[in-house]
Amino acid sequence: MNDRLIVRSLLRGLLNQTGDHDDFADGDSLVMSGRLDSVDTLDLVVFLEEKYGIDFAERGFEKNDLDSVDSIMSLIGTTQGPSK
Amino acid sequence: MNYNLASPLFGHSLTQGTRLALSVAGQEVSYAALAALAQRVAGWIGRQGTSRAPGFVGILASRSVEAYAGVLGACWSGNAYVPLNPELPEERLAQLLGIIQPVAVIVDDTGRHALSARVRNAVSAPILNSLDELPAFAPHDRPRRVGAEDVGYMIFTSGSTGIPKGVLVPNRAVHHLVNMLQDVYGFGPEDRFSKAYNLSFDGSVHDMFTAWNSGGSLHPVPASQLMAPMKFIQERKLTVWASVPSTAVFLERGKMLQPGAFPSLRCTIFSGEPLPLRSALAWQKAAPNSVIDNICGHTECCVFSTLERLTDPPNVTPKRGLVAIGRPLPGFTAAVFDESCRPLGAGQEGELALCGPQVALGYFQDPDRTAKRFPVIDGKVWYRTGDLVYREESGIYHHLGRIDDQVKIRGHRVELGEIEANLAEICGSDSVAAVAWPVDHGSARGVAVFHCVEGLPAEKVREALMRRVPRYAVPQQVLQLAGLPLTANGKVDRRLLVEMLDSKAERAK
Repeated sequence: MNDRLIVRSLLRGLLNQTGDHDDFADGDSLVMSGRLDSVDTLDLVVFLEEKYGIDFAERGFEKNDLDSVDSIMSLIGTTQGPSK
Repeated sequence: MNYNLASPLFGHSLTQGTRLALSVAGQEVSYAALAALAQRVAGWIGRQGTSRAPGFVGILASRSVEAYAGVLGACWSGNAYVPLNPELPEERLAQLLGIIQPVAVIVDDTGRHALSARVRNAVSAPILNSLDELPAFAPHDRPRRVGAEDVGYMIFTSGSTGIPKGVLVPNRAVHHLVNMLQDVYGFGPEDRFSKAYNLSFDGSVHDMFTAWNSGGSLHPVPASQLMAPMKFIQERKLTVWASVPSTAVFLERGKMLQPGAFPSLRCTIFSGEPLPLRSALAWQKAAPNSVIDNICGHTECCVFSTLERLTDPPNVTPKRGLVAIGRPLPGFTAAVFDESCRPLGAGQEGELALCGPQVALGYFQDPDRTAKRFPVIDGKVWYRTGDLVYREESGIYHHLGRIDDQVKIRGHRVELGEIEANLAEICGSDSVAAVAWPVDHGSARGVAVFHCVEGLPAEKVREALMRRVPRYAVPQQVLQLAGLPLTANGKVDRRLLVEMLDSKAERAK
């Protein structure tokens, strides 16, 4: 599975947990729009730290960084170089 | 004495006018500039020809110069301000505006987006759309003289009947709050205060008026950085941080709290929900020069009522892993009441009741509820908080939950009865129930609702509620049951409903 599919599947799982089964496009806002709350975002943060070695304590982050599939992909890209 | 809430800021504008008062959305505003803006807003309100002064000025704005100039201008003009969250659904906004009948409304860019045709229809008052519309500065104009018992602001909280309750807070309560905190913390002009709370949360009353009372500066945290404000605290060199404990919980669990990360902080105040000890200890390591205070507060007692400072060893509420809520702050008398408002002894569980100069005037246009929640005992007005507590022999209070159906969803106060009242209307049936679920470390993450109407799609229920209640109160789970489980005395058995959700979630794992 490529990185984009991995990220999509994680977000799908988080949305499902909140009872949100609506579809989402890669550019759709999920955090700023309130579809995912801070606890969901925390799962996302921990996942990105473990899977991609992103050090949020060091670099900090804004909600926009994790707002959509596209913004997460760009975050992974800037940390690791182009995704496979 | 003039109790106008804008007076301390006005005083500092004369003695230290060039010092920073507010840094928001890329704008640095000095005391002199902010006082001038507040005076001009007050001048604009005065020109609207209202005969109903003092009245309410609606502030439909958030984290902008307009929002703070609006709050100060409303106070300066001798009116009370009412924060209105631009993120509320339009029906709710229209409902609130209908209730308060403002004499004027001040909006910023976010507020303007919330002014749909339906919301505009609910406002007969003039709307200040831009600071460019303000009259020229009148240098000899002073904050209008107001009394201790005049209303300074009104904040709405969830109401169990489906209609939000407006809490009327007098100027003397804010006056006491800021001066009492000044004594406790010794704030000064060098202090740099966070403003993490939204205006519609009463924590913002502390942020703004404590900062401007001390001559320090206020730094509203951009919405995008609220979740993880590490860089903001570091770059702004904040000395005072005040927020819900969720911020510490989030950073601690995400391993984002590095030891020594916040050397500038000297004072951290967590309030609004339970403070897990683990997160408090992690924050202490990150902010080694800061005191960590767990403050319990109620909108009806002007923001803060009891305080527990993190000590070594800490005072923890047994079996809950939460920091105790401590002792009453100076000025407050606290007691544990039984159902008939008789005080209970140490170790006995009952309702936390508070008395003192920060107790509010009551609920707007609701004398019955005011009489019930604000009983007069031996000539003194008390506020029955609804919090289930006990007091140790040492005088330290411990919070055990609620005695009523009020819950905190992600830090927001919600009456389950309010969701149920709306749900009953949507379903056309009274067989409905709402529970806070799931609950994680004493804080609820969401709401689940139950109804008994066959064939009513969950999405329809969610959509209808989305238009009526704030987003955090919209249920994530909508379940239809053949009938609601009842307790022995005929009430809906919410505990059984929660167990049902827990076991369903367990099976899904």
